[in-house]
Amino acid sequence: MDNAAFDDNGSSGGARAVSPYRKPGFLHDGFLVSELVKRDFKARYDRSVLGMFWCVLQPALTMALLYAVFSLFFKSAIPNFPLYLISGIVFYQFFTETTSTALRSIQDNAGLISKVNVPLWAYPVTRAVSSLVNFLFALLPLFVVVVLTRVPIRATMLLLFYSTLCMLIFSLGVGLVLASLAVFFHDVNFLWGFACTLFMYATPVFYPETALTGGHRWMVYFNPLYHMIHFSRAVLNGQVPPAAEFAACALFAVVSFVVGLAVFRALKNQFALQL
Amino acid sequence: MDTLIEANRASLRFTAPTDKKGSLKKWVLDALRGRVSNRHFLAVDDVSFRIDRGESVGLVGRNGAGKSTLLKLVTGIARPTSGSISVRGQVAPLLALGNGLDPTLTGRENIYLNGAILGYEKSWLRAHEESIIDFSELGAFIDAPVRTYSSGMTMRLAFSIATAASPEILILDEVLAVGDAAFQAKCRARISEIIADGATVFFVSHSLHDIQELCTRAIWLEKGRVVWDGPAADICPVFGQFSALPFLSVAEFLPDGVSGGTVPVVRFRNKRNGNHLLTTTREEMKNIVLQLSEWDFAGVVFRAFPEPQSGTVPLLRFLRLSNGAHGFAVGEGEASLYRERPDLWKYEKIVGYVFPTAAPGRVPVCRLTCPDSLGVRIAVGDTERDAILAADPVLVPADALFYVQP
Repeated sequence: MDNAAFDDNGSSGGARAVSPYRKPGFLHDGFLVSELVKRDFKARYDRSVLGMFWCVLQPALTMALLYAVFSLFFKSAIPNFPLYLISGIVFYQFFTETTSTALRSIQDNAGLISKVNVPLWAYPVTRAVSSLVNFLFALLPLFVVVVLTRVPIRATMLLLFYSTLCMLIFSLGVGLVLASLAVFFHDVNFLWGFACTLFMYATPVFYPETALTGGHRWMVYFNPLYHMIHFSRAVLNGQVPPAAEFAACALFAVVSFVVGLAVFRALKNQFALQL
Repeated sequence: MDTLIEANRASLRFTAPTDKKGSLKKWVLDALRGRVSNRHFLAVDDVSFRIDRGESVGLVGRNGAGKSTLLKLVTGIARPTSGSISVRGQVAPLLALGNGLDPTLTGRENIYLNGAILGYEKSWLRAHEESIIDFSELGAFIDAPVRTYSSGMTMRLAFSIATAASPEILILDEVLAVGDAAFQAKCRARISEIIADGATVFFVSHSLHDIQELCTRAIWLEKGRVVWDGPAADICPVFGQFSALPFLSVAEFLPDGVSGGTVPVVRFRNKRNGNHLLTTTREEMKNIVLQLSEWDFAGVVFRAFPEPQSGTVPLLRFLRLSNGAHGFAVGEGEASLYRERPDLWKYEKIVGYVFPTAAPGRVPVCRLTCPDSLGVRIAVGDTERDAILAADPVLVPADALFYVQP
C-alpha cells in the first residue's frame, strides 16, 4: 500500500487534518445533492451529440411547436399571445417535471436505498433541483420571446424568481407526497400522468383566463398553478402583483411543502423494506 | 469494553400487502371492505447482541434467514419495529458494491458521486482522489465511462472508493469476490488492515472459509432469530454441515440440541422404485443429498437413540446386492435372517435403537414390503400405513413392528 488514502487515515494515523466523513444533518448534504444533480444531467445527455445544448433547445422547440399550433386557434383573444402561452407552458412544465420526476425518485433509486443509508429526502430534492435547472435554461427562450415581442424590460421582472421559488416549493411538496405513495402503489405513476393532463386543461395555459367564468371560477381560485402562472405573467407584463397574490402563492407553497414533508417523514422508514 | 453496536431485543416485523404488486385499486377495495389484508412476518425476531470495538463478527445463516435485514438495521436503512439497535461510530457499508456507480459517468466522476453517497466530505475526496485511482489500478481508464468497464474493473473502483477511509464499523456483504485473484488478495489485505486499525467488522459471506479467516466471532441466524452466538471457529464447521443438510432443523446441530438423547432418523425415497432408506448420520445424508437425481428427501420420520438404551433393540440396515434396495431388521434375531444370505444381503449399519414393544407415547413403525422387488417402505403410524396401502395395494405390511417416540 503506497498511497496516501490507504495509509494515513483511520484511527491509527494520529491527528487527522480532516475527517473523511460529512457531519450528520441535512445542512451538510449539499455535496450529495449537487453530485446527484450532476449525475442526473450527465446521464440524461449521455451519448447525445448536442449534449447540454438540449437544455435550451428542447424547451425552445416545444414552445415553437405549441405556439404554432395554438396561435391558429386563440390568436385574437389575448394581447401578446406568444408571451402569454410560453410563460404558461414554461411554468406548467416546471411543475409537471418536478412532480413526475420526484414521484419516481424513490423507486428509481431502489437499489441504492435498500443498501446504503443515504438521507432519503435527497432523492426527491435532487429531482426538484434538476427541474429547477432545466427551468432556468427554459427561461432563455422565454427571454428571447420577451425581446422579440418588444416587451419593455423592467427591474420588477426579477419578481419572476418569487413565483419560481413558490412553484419550486409547491411542486416539491406535491412530489414528496407522490414519491412516498408511489413506493406503495405503483398506480400513482399512471394516475399522476392523468392528473397532469387535467391540470393542463384546468389551468389557463393556452386559453385566456376569461374563458373560465361564472361557475368555473372556483377552478381558478383553488388552482395553485393558476396563481403562480398568473403572478408570473403579470410580472412579465411589467406589473407588480397585489399583495394578495404574493400571499396566495406563498400559502400554496407552504401548505404543500408542510403536508409533503409530513407524509414523507411518516412513511420513509418503510421505503427500504417496500422496495 | 467499548460497545459499538448493541441490539436489544430488536425485531423487525415486515408488513407487505398479500398481493406483492402494490395496487391502489385493491387497497381501496380492501379498505372499503374494512380489511386491508397484509402479510406479516418477523424478518428479525427478538435479536440481542453486543459488538465491541475491534471485534470482527461473521453473520451466517441460510438464504432468507434475516441476514440482510439485520444488516439493514445495523446500517440504519431500516428501523426495528420493536426493541432497539444502537450504533456508535461511522458505518461504512460495503454491500452490493457498485450499486452507487452510474454507468454513464466516468470513473473519476463516480468517485465523487459514490463518495458523496457513502458520506465522504468533498474536500477529503479531492485530496484522496489520486490514491483511490491508484488503488483501483484503473490507470487511464478512470476517465472512461463506467459502462465501458468490465465487471471486475467496476468492482475494483467501487471497492477502492468504499474502503478509502478507515471506518469505525465496516459492513461487508459478500464483497471479497471482487475482481481477479490478485485484486482479491489486495482486498483481503486492505480489510485486514482496516481490522488491524481497530475497526469493528460485520461480515456476511457464503464463504465460511473467509468468515473463519477474518472473524473471531460468528452469529448464526435462522428464521430471524439468533440460534448461536459464539466463536467463529466453533460455529462455521457446524453451520457448514447444516447448510448441506437443509432438511434438518437447526436444533439438531446445536450443542446440547440433541433433545432427549435421541437423533432424527431421516427418510429418503428412491425416485425409481419408491423404496425407502433410513439414516441418522450426517455424513451419509450429505452423500445422499449429492445424488438428488436418485433420492428424494422424505422427512424426518422419527427419533431413535444413537446408543443402546434399556429396553431398546437395534434397527439394522441391509443392502440388497441385486438392486440396491434396503432392508431393515429390527433386533439381532431378525438380522440373522439377512445374515444367513450373504450372497443376497450386505449388512450396512445400525440406524439407531428403537423400542420393540408398544407403550404410551410410542408410535408404531410399520414396514411394507413389495413381493416383486424386495424393496421396503416405512410407515410411521397407522394413518400413514393405511394411506400407503390404499395407494399401492400390492404392498404387504409386515407384522414386524417397532415403536418409536415421534
